Amino acid sequence: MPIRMGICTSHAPSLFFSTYDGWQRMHHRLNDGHPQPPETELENEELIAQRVPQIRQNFATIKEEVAKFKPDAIVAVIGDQREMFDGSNIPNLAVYVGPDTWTMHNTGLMDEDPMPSPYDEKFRYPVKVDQELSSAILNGLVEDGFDAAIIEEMNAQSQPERGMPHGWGNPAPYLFDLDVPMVLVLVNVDDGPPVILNGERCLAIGRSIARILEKSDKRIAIYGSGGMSHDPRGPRSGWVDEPLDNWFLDQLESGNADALKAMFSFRSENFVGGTGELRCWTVVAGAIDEVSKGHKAQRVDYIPARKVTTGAGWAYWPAIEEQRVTIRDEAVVAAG
Amino acid sequence: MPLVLGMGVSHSPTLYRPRERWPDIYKALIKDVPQPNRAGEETPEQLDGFNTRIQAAFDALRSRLADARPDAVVVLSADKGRVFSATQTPQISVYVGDEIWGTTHYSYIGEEPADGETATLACHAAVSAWLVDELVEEGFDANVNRFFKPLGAPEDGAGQELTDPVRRIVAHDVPIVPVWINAHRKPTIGGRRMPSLGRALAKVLDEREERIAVIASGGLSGDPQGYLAGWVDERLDDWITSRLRRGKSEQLGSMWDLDSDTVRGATGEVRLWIALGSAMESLGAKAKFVDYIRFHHATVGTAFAYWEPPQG
Repeated sequence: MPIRMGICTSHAPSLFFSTYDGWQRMHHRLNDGHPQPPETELENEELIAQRVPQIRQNFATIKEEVAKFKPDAIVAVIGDQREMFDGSNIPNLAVYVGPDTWTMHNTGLMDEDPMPSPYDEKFRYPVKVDQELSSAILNGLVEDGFDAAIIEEMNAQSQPERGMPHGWGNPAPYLFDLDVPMVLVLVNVDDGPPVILNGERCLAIGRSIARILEKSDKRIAIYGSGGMSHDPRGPRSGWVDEPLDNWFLDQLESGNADALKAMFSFRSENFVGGTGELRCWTVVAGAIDEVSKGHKAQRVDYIPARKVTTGAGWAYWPAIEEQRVTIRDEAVVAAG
Repeated sequence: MPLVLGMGVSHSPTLYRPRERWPDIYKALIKDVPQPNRAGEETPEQLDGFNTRIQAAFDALRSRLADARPDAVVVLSADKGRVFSATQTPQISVYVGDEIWGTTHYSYIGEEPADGETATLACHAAVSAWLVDELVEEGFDANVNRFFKPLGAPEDGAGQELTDPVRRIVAHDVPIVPVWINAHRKPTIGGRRMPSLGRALAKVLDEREERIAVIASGGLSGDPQGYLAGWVDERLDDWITSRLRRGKSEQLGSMWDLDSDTVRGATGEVRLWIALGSAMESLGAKAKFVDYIRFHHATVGTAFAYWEPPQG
């Protein structure tokens, strides 16, 4: 059974902190020197104390849904922020087809004083890769007219000590059973030059991935990591674009994937930095819409978390029942 | 005959007030919104330089318009609740009358009526009547304003985004054709309507005997007195000006397919530039920018541009 579930979440480091001090440290690290919006000062110790369990619960809710779905594999669509790639070779679209590898979840370090090294061995954890599925996606994308780059070995050029990028490393333990193998699809999420993928192209990539996997006999979930609006250390660091985030979530909730063509159709200071990770969400939205036209996502939560420098969102598309599935113009797939 | 000239000019009260008043106007426009670091780079000396550039740009546009010898000037602007009110806000509207008026003081930056005057502008009723008729024929459900009844601000009449640039750029004896496009009251007309509206403007005005120019007044990026007051989206402005310079205004139509803090406020008035750009591009002209200033003190990215159709 191919792609039948979709998940999108933010993955900002602070979302995994447990303490107010951790939030404050990260806030200052990212935002000092940048004028902050008036709402920031409302995020006091009391509010953060409420948010920490709320955020944990948001991840837990989705993890439970994923567990119920029992996927055989997770296709993860993430961005790279000068982790695997350096300026010498930046793909707009790439698929990792190498063997099992590793990553790290080190965000808890900000809760500690003094802070340990972010690359300490204790933060490492293994990543299982479904190579067969990875190759199918890579080959299928290229056949379908997408110029996907090929990554055959984990040989990170910018941060070799981090392994697979934080787009997987940060959220994966909070969402997935790590024994379930994954496929790493990388889309360029940071702003150009060169020009990077617009919303229309991201939807098309997602649709293509869905069609490629329709032939698979595995149960597959697809995950988009990052976002929503944020540009840490950029000129608008700490400012959250609530209208944009809510508009985006509204489109997912109403099953209106095609509206996301508007994303990244023009350039703006509100669409650079981490906001670019909404491309990952857009790929997922395209994939789900291809499997089941108009399938609606559930918004688990949205928090305009300015000290995190992020509009933080959690959403998933409930598992798609077989009889609803239509791919392009093909007839409805029979139940079972 | 074909349109003789197109001109785009951003709008902010700052552009029409003496340099010494800028700091106070800035405070009134930004209210208590925290300002971007780049605003701090606008030193008094730099602002003096901006003033010189702005006056030079206005003079250049005025002179270019005079050289084009227009018989009428169509002015595209976005009303901010002075002409129209909750009673009825058109998406597209054309005023058909012989004159229009508006007070020129800005109450929202602390000015009193006595600080300004009531500007009366002559209008070209014949061209207006033709334009609105033909736009409807072309598939635009435009309003017509057969007489001037500003329900939004009965004491003040038309807004300064109309009267300011006309008084600064257009010779006193040249009548105008006021056209309003809704950029501020939801639901606002879609950006994707603008390219076809612009092409229709060029097409129907082409059939007139008069020499006609078009001015768009508003934008570029900014949110005066709004959530992002004082924050100019230079990257967006670069995108807008590059599209217009390259004759690709149609690409700007998607800007309001989504919602975002950065496409609200004055940025919504970029619709006017898209309509104008598309009108002029249909005649083979591309925008030439006299100047662009990332002008935080004016709270809008400030551009001055013109389009000159090829001769013959």
